[in-house]
Amino acid sequence: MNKSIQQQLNILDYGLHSLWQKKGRNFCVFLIFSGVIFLLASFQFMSASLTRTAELLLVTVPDITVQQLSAGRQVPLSAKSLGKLDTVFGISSIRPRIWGYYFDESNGANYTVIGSSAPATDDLLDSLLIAGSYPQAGEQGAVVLGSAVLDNLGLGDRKSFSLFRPDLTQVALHRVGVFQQSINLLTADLMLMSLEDARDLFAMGHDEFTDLLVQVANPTEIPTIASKIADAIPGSRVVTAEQIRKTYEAVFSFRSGFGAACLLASLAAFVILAFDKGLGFSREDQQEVGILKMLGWQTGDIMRLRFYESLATAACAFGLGISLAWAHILFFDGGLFRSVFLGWSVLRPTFDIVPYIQGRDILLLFAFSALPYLAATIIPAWRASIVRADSVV
Amino acid sequence: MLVTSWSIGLSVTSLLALFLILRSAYTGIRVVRFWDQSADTPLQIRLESEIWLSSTLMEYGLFFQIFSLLLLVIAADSFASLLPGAMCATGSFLANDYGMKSLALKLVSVFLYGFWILIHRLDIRSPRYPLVRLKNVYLLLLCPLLITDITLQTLYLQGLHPDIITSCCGVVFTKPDVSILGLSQSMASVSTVVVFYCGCLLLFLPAWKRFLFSQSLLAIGSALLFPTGLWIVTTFVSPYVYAMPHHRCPFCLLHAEYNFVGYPLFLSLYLASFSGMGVALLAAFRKHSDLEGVIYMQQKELRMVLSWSLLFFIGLSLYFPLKYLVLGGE
Repeated sequence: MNKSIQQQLNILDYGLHSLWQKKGRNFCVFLIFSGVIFLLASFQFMSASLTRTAELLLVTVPDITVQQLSAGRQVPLSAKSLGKLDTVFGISSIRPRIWGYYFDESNGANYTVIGSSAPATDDLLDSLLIAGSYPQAGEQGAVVLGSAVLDNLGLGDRKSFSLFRPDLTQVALHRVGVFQQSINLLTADLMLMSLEDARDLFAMGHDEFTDLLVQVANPTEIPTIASKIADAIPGSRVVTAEQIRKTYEAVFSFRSGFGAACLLASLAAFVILAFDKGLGFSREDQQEVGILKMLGWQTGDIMRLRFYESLATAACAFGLGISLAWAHILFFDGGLFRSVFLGWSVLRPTFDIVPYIQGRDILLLFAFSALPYLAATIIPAWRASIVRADSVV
Repeated sequence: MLVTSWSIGLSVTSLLALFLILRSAYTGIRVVRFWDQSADTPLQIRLESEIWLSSTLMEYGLFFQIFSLLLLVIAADSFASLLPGAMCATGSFLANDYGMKSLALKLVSVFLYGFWILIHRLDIRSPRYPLVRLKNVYLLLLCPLLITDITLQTLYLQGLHPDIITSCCGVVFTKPDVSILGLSQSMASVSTVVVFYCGCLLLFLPAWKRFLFSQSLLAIGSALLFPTGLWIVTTFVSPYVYAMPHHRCPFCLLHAEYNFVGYPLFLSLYLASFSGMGVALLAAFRKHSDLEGVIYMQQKELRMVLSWSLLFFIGLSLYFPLKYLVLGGE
């Protein structure tokens, strides 16, 4: 084997032995370092996993959503607006929808109500239900419920229930299906019903709806068609699926960055601790360096020895911190930081996060944590290595 | 858009590098002013022990900066999913005036940082430290470069806003009138490609044979290798990797769907170019008689790195066009 490689291996071997002998002293640094990495990594993994979860769920979102604004606030669209889109080529389907919120005074929760005209028939949408079916055309009062709504209403096995119109008269409804738990991010607080039932519940006009869901035949034409729709319906807000996805990612990315910025303080505190601990070398350490120097070790060799010790500590702490963070996401759904990312509400969606990890995240975490630690140990390593052999032995 | 994990990671890495290099420069100034190999004064003894600290700090700092180039490219790629219109790192870098400047400066700096490490490794092999003054002057010259590098990077990150509509690589690298570092202004013709690969093979000649001006030829050839290699990869090789004639982009090669082929491709190109220039650089120190043996050994190692990485680059970059010619399109 190459002589210089053999020499490095020997120094590494000695370094690992020396680290093991002083394990009591190094354990504290190792533990705190692992904790800091765990916090940083949890934030990063949580952000990546939530972005991934949103991406997987957003495949069912329509290409373009159109809403009407008046004085900057959303108002209902009328059937007249629907007619204006006849002249826009490239649209494969348009579906009117009513999207609103129903406040349940009995328990202070807000339910999301969606009234949709089209009875869903494709397999993808059918697989979103635990049991039952979607409301069929002409079926009055049929509703599909999210799991949290089902619990909140306390329906149990009962199918029929009623909600209040704005004038406090009652609307009779019955449950025909329940959404899967796996898509709870979108459906936990959802009630899906027919367009007519939703109009009846919110006491809206017979040709009114809140938004239009537009599907486009050629995905590359989506931005062009979106701008044509914006021209055709003055004062409309046109949102594409891509914009929604980017917004989700921007939100999660910002929150993860904000969390990382907050955790910088703990990282800085740890780096100061490591620096300080490195400076406080004992009489024993000085004697060790003195003996090594008498045996022919150079200053550079001793600095390298200290580097290997720091690297080994950093690598072990990094491994432990990352593993704990992964377990935190995998088994506990990121419980510690969940509310930071998802906010708070009475009906909190209890969905499972899709754990997602990328090599680039590991690289970023390495830059965040291991590099500052390695940098903090250089000056103490040098201080320790310039000890004169004759002064300590 | 400074508040994302990537921006913070990049800034932390660069600030660490800045701190280490400035501390190193403090010793560097004193070495340049007071270093006297023949003296036996307390100051000289102090400096002799301090140069170990300063050079270690400098090595760490330069490594951090080299690492930050990788981080910047990956960060730009991850920003692409936040910026409207951007589909890969190209769009992110073009999102404001500082992106491409920051990238270009980092690419050049990485070579200059590497040369410092090369000179340092040579210097510490002699007990007289014959290059210590030169090394520290070089260190002081690198400081303004590093500060400019970090300033440009910060301005770039600061100027990124998710509401800015930028261009995707399909637009930038296809239209000859939209320039990115001048690389895409013209497309590589077959004859240019042949000249490039013949030039690559000819580089082995000055690397292993000594003749008049061989070192200068090697230095110039290796210096040209990196920019021309990037250009060839972008305009000639990448469409074959993507199996799309109009998709010319150096950054999409770094994506998982193309098996991260960009990383070995660019790394081998960098190593070949750097080690070629390194061989020529080391030759300049031959006048120090006590370094001659070390220079010979280190040049031999660099020649090996040059040869293997250049062969790897040629093989990998030609694999995709040849696969297309032999097996046909996808």
